[in-house]
Amino acid sequence: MRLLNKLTMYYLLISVVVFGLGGIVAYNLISEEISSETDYYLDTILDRIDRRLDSWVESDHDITRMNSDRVHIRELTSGVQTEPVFSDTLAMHPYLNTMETMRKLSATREVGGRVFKVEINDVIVEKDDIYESVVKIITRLFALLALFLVIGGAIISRYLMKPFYRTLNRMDAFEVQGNAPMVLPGSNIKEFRQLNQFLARMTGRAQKEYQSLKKFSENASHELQTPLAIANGKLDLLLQDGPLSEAQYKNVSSAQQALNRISKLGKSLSILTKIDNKEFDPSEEVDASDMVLQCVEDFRELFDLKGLDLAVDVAPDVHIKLNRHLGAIMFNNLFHNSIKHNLEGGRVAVSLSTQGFKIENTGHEPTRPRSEMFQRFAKDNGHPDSSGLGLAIVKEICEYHKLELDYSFEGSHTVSIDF
Amino acid sequence: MKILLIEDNLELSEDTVSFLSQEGHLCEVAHTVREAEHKLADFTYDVVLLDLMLPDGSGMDLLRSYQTRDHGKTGILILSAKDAVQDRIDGLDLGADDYLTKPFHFSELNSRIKALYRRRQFNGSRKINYEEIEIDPDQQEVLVHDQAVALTKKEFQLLVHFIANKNRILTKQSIAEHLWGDHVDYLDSHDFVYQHIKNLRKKLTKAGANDYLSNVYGIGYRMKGSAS
Repeated sequence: MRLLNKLTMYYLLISVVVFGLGGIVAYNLISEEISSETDYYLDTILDRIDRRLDSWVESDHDITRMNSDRVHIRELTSGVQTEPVFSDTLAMHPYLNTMETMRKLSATREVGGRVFKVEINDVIVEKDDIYESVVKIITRLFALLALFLVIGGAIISRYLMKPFYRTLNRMDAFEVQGNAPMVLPGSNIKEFRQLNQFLARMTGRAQKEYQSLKKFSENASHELQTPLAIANGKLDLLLQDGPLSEAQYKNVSSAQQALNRISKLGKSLSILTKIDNKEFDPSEEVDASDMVLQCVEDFRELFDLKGLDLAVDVAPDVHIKLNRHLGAIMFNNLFHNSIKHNLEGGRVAVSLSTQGFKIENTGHEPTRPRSEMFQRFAKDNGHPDSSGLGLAIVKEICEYHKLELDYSFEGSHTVSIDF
Repeated sequence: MKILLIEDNLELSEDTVSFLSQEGHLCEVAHTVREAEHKLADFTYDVVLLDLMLPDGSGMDLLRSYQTRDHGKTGILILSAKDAVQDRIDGLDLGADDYLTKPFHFSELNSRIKALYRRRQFNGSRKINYEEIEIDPDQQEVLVHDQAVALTKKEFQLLVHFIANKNRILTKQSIAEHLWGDHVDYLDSHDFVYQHIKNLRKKLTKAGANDYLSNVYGIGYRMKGSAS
């Protein structure tokens, strides 16, 4: 839900409460005012009757002639003068002929030794009517308020929130890999200004940290490979300068192999770091058919040398989104594994379609559980010298491109990637 | 052959020079971009070995400025610890002839330098002669006693590599790396190397050539130098 809508909703919710309370107050005020006005009116009539009673009793007129729709006077045998008492009562409406709520004033008057009970009725505005009117007024006001709030809110927020949405757009387009600093629009609203300053600082720092991280991984790789190159060179010289004993030759050769392994490990870790740092563009579109066939070509000789039977089923023109460099590493590692973890005279089946890629090869049942297959440094017992990073890299590459990777063993190793 | 090695690491440069001198090359060293610029301005070299990360600048920049002046007369081989594909592409785009990642085997460097030098010899024969064996790298052709011998691509590469590094011990690992690059683990590759060498020997001896290849204690092979 957009901020504006939520804000409007809360405003309206508060308005409902305020208008409700206002309605109750208005209803009470109006009721009070009406009844006090009615009472005042009844009082003035009583005054007039009082004066008339004085003169009529003196001149001995028939008091009952004073009676009308509203006024009822009857003579009591005894009693004392009382203050007027107001009450609500039901009485016949003089014109409508229905029972209506009336305001009634009762008083007892003693004039010239005679006692009169005076009752005066007047139609009052019904509570129902007041209630109805108040509700009508309140609901219309509320409707007006809601209407203006929604329209006005939309117009004002479009203007007010403009810098905010601009900032959002810039944020969306921001790339931590890039060098361009994020340029944010100025604003005369303090909060937005603060937000923009904060974002500019944060993104600047993120870019700097990203660059230094990238630099670090590049340098780390460089710093690792250079001493390896020195050691390797020394061993090369040692080999050539000989003659050495057989045992010495073997030691030199083993040392070189170990160096080679460190070097490859360093390169693999560097690739993993680069994937973590998102240094590769995953939106590149490549012809997977070409890549797989290229791999088949590159590895064909190795398949032959190991006496592996190779079955290739590659559909043409399978285009997928895949970074070319990472894709090459991924297919390479999978082909590599299919040879390494195979049996003498075994079989490899490669298939590619628009649905996905599958490579299946004969081999021993893995000694590790399936779930650990893609973990870094997860090694099969049969290959203590493998780096245990090949499949971990494949997994990272798949995750990087949001491709589904699966492994299963049912008589043969099957690695599948769903596009 | 006159070679300039541009490499900031002292030990690595010393060892490389010592190896290249053994090969009979005249080799000079520059440790910085500045030094390299001076040397390149004053002398001409057949081959320049260029490290990309130098203390006072990038080898790429050096390559860029040098190529415009040199018009590609000198062969340039990049030696870098950086394995990034982009660097490789950029380097070759800027006119480098080859790209070798550290760590490398000196035998590999040797082969590459020789191949590079051969490719740049526009006048005269580019053929490689070794005793009764004659190799035409352009045609990928091998003659023994003037009779063509059919070799596979890998066997051909292997033979050229051996002749470039005659009298040197080539470990199975370095041979495998030469033939397949990063495609193979040395574990399997040792068998593959053995098979290729076996086939190569068989084909050469069958064509009447002497068997120059010998196994060295199971760690590698050596091609005997000419008797003369």
